[in-house]
Amino acid sequence: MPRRKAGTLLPIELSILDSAIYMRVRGAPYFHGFMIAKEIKERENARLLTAHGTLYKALDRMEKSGLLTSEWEDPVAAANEGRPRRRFYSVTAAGEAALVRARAGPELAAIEPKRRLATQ
Amino acid sequence: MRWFLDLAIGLTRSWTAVYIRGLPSETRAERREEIDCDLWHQQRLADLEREPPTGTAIEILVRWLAGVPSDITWRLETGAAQPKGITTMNDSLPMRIGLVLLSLPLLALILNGVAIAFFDAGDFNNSTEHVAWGLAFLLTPLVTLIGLWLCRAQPRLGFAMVVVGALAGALIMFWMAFITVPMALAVIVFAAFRAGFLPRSSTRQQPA
Repeated sequence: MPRRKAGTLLPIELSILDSAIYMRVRGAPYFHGFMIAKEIKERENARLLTAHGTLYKALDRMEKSGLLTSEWEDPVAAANEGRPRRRFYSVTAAGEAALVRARAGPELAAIEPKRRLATQ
Repeated sequence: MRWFLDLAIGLTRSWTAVYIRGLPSETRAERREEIDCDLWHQQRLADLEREPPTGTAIEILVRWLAGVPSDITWRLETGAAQPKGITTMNDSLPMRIGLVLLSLPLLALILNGVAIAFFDAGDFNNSTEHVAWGLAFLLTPLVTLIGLWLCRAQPRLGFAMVVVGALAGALIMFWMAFITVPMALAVIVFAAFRAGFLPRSSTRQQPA
């Protein structure tokens, strides 16, 4: 895992949160891997979809750190449609807060941990 | 060029199967299903949008290759996060190396048996003798080899196969018994270690 300051987001994490929030506003609160890869590609005018390894490693890491939560689709529903079942992710409150901090810039990102320490 | 798309999907799936090896079954199944789902959706979307299969295949290949470093680091992190359990002597690196080194002469003996049985190699009186001796030279190392590789997964069956194969092979070449019998015994002792029948002197507990 790349070395980075606690509370900061990697570019891929920022892209995922950004795209996920955008999709939520448009009425899609849940997303699966390919869906977010496609959204990121379109939003960032990228030539290619995010690499499998990069995307799923980031999703796994973000879920472990509480920025995302996930739920597997009912296997029967997937089987009825003749496709693999999807893992649906959604952004948590912590994920939204992390995105707000990241958007606000390094000043707020640096203040936030101090504020949290002060309230503990 | 549909085959190229199938190849790209197959390579991505095969790579996934490789790097998730050794992880808990739940973690393996989850990663496999996520990749399968992703590939299915990409292919489906390309079909709906009537994109040429070659372009989709290239994109899948690039996504796969560009993600390989992340897959490896994810595998290392995920593997390291799992409880390691017990590393036993029959699963140690020297035992694995020993297994490979023992397999090589056994493979050579198998090839020798094939040459005698089916290509009239060696100095025998007639074709019946060729086939009989060839099969004997072929089957004994083959049984030993399979037994050695089975020893960890099925210790009793694997060990029994090694004992039967190694001793039969040693006795078939009775005129060289001073070499073949000690070699057979060495192989049997190795198999006993690999099957976990001998004391595990180097057993160590990894912290969970």
